[in-house]
Amino acid sequence: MPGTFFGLEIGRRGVQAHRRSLDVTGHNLANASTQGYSRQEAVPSVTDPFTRPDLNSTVSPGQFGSGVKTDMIRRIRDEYLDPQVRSANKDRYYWEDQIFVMNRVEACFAEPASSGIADQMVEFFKSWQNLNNNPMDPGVKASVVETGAQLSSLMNYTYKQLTYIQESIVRPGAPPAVESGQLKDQVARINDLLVQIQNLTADIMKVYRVRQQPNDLLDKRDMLLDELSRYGPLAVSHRSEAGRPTGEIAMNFFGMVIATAPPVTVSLSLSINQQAGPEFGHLELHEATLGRVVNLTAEGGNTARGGSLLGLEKVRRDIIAFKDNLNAIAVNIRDKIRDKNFTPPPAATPDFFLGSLDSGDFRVNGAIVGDISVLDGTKAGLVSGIRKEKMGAGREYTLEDCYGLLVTDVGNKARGADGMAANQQAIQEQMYNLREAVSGVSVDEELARMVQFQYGFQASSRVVALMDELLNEIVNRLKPV
Amino acid sequence: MRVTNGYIYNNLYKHIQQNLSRLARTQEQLSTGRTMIRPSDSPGNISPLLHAKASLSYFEQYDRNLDDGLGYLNLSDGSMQTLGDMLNQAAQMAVQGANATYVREDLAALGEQIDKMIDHAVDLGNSSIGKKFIYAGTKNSIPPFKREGDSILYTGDLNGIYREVLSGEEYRIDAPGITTGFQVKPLVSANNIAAKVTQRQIPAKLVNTGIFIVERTATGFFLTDLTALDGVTPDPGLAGSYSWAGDVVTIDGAGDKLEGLRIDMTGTAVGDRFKITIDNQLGVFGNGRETSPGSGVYEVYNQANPKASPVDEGIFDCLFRLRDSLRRGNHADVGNCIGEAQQKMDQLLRRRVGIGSRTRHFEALKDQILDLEVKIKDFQQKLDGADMYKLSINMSHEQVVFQASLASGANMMKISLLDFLK
Repeated sequence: MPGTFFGLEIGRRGVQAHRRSLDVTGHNLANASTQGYSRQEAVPSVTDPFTRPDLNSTVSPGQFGSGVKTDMIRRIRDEYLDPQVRSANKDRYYWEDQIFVMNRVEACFAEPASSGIADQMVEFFKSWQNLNNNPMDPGVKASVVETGAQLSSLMNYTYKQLTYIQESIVRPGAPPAVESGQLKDQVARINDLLVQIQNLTADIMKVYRVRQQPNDLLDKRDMLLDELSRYGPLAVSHRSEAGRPTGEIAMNFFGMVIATAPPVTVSLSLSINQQAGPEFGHLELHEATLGRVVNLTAEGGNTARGGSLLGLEKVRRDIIAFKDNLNAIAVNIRDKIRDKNFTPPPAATPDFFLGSLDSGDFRVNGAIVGDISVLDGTKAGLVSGIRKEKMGAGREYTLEDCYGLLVTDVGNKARGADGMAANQQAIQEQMYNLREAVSGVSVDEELARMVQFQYGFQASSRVVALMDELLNEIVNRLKPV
Repeated sequence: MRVTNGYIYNNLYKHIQQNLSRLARTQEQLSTGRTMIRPSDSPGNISPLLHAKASLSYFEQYDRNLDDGLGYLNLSDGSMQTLGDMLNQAAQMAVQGANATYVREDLAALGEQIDKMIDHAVDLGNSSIGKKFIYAGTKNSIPPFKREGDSILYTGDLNGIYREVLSGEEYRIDAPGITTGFQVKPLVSANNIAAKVTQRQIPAKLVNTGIFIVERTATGFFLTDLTALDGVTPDPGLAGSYSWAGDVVTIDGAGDKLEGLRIDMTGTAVGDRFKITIDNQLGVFGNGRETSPGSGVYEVYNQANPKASPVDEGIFDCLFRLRDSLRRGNHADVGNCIGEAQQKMDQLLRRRVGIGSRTRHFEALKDQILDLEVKIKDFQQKLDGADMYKLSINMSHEQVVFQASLASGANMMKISLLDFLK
């Protein structure tokens, strides 16, 4: 026979275990909408039975069940999904950060819906044809100057807009430093994330050391790791000792192995390569402690590596190429008009356009604006013919074609980035959904469990109450006869 | 698969966004009537679309150019007609004057009429449309011809007036007031300095025509591609022997068809190449020579300095000679002028025929442009025009999808175990 108060103890344990499970359910429900939260579960198990080696006992197996205990609060998570989610993350943000920039770039080119540079270029050459029809007419000359001024200011404006966008990504400071920009902000955030992860890891390790479960801290660290994986390729390896996790991790970010115990001080920074050579002007990610340099410019097109750092650098290079093309068009118009003026017999006309887009001073010559009579109309026919000439110097197409190609390129890149971003977003969301299927909180499920635990709790309390009654019978009612 | 609330909500948000963006896109196309609004809408069609838009815009300009060109051509035709009538009249007077029954006084009176006719010819040379003088080349804001006593000066230039009337095609629309009989076209010119062909040196020579290329070398020059003007026959007989002195090439072989031709290459650089065409084509008012190099003033007729070759003589030479013969009362000389006047009329007619055929050409082009405009507008419409019927159907379809997704989402969110727990 077990002891007198044995039944009371079983009831107490039942109450306690159900109470613990109810707490966990409450915690799950409270965090049903929390980002990065993994549902938890109290794992109950049977307590060790009491063994009574009674002889002649036919009714008992020699053991008494002694009730229930809560072994641990388990975090329900598929750790094998995490690398996949992070890989999908870097692919998604490689394209997604590009599309935000490309949308802005696209807005700079008011084609083909409204009248952009293409229309203005047509108007410009049309005005020269008018001048060819009326070579001496001051009104027509004024209109040539006016359309020229409009063309140059529109081109300047577009070029400046592109520069603003480019500098919103990377604004160079005193060489080789980067003064500001989205990329610099992201690198600062990465440094911040690395420190937070290292601090959290120290806490997690302490909890593990006392054989407890740092569930919420692990969730928090996984969230930070997820965020880190947006910025670049990240691989995480978990350490364990004798089959038990220690909580320590090592991160491989862009090929830099960053340990967390003991934490190494890691500080990433951006700089612009100043060494003469093919890599001059390239954007580099530096890490002094580990002595690593990642050439972001050269790696920009490496979609296998992915991550928003490379994506932003790639789109920045694209913008630079767009700007170069635009500038080539401006400079070509400028030089071709000069050439036409020099065609024998040379005209005594000052250069029509001066400056260039990259130096920010592309404009109609002030000498002509001030006195339109110096504009020689006899070359107007030749100048209007510029639009049919090939640009030369590796560009075997006309000015209008070159601009058409530029806009097509912008459109293609925006569309390509948009398509890839949508694709990668779908993949990444699918991964998140898979993870959500495992770790997400289902409110109805938790409510059902709640009811289950509530009844368990009530039943166990009932056991206590009943035992109380039984003991009352024995202690108070049982009177010596 | 285990479905959680988070999964349902995330999908719902995503689908609302997707449906909304599709709706917005369709609405945008419906309200603009275009399918291409941003470059990324259809990058492959950007280039053709920009081309089509540019073409349509240029068509307006071509049309304007054609109208302007036709104005020029019609005026040229008109003035040449008057000029031809005048020459005809002069020829009749010459016929009268050659008649021995006319006495000296009569001839002098006829001479005075011819003298006034010269003034009229100058006026015709200064014909203008709007403020543009049609025989002045591109220097056309001032009257090009000027009579100073017994000389005629031309202050226009020798450039042709061209109009671009179709993509890549430029046509000359003026009959030149005067020419020099030579054309120099630089093929390569480092310093942008043109070679100059100087006046004919030997009167009887240089009636031949041809094309050749002269190239400046380190030690002198090089003549190549000697071709008769038909452009087919190579003709080494154009310039068999030539010499080089003081940057001037002189063709000096006796018997050379271009004997006496001098090409001044002062200021040119080694490697410069020029294509020289000698066509002997007279301008409407004959040939002229620059009074001094670079002055821009051409002598069309100067009694004190007659032209070396009759090849260069034009209307004024003929009229002045007739007038002088009449004034001198020389019947025989007057008689000689009849043939000359007829010959000038023939030359004029050649120019008029050229102008007439260009006029017909331009009128045909005007029709062609109208035709092309319709075709290109149609092409543009195909590229970026919105199909309203299709879009409207799409729009209602997408509205239905959106409403269904909202309704089902809302219903799904409403159901919870909570409703059944007391």
